[in-house]
Amino acid sequence: MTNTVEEPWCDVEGWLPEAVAELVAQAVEDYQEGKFSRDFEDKLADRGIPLQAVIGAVTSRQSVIVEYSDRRDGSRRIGFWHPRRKYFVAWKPGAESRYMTCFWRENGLAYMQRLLDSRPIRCSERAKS
Amino acid sequence: MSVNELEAFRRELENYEYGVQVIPASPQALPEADEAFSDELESLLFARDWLEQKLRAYPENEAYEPLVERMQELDTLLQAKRRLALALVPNYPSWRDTLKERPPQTHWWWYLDQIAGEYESQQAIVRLSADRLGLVFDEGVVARVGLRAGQTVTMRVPDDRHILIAVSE
Repeated sequence: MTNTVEEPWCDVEGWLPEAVAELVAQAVEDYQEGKFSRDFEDKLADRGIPLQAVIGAVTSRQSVIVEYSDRRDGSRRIGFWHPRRKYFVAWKPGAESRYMTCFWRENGLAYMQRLLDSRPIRCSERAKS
Repeated sequence: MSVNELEAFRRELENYEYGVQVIPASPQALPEADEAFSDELESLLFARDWLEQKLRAYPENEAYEPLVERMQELDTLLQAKRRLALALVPNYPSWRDTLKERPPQTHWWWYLDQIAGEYESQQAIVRLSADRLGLVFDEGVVARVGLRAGQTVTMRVPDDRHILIAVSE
């Protein structure tokens, strides 16, 4: 089994820019309101990731955005991965929205592709290169 | 192999370590488990796959050696904690079915539910970091000596065969 990326995954047409902007705006609002899972900030500290890196990954136009399902309960998730800084952010949208976790990932595209029910929302040219 | 590749290996090893550490150490701690546990377990599995892939790509690379030693300690810890991980993610066996490519049996971290007896009484000491050790006992041992999650203990090594654990109330 490999951790390589199947290029067509990122060639799929993603969401309309307006819909992506709305999604990002919701995620930014959650960040500003401090909607984080119970251990979220402790995890960032443990991993040496500054909180600003989270909002950086969410708002950067370079970031790849993926929609996927949680493997345990099937709930919807949105993942953001910044191809230069390599931070992956998992955000739970919807009524109980909050940030779930954040970690560094060398090959974020391969990680995103392997997530359950993974569908790209936006794939930047920089990430593909 | 470049410096960047070594650094990537080190950081994915950290991801693996973090994933192993967020698995609770005792059944009593399960209710307080990480609410993002499935994301963390997913990350752990990916990290371990990634490390394996690199080790197979560079089997003779000496730069990996100290890191591999650490990885093997974490392997022991993951095997010892496997039942607690499975308690948190009862549908874990179905995870491997959702992958496009089924993991080979050699990737035992995808088959924690199938690891049999040999690890049932696993007891080991693993180095967690430069100044910390982890003792891994099965639940029976922990229950028999009356240890509780969160309890403070102090350790002393009186000779080359024993570790004395003093338990505080």
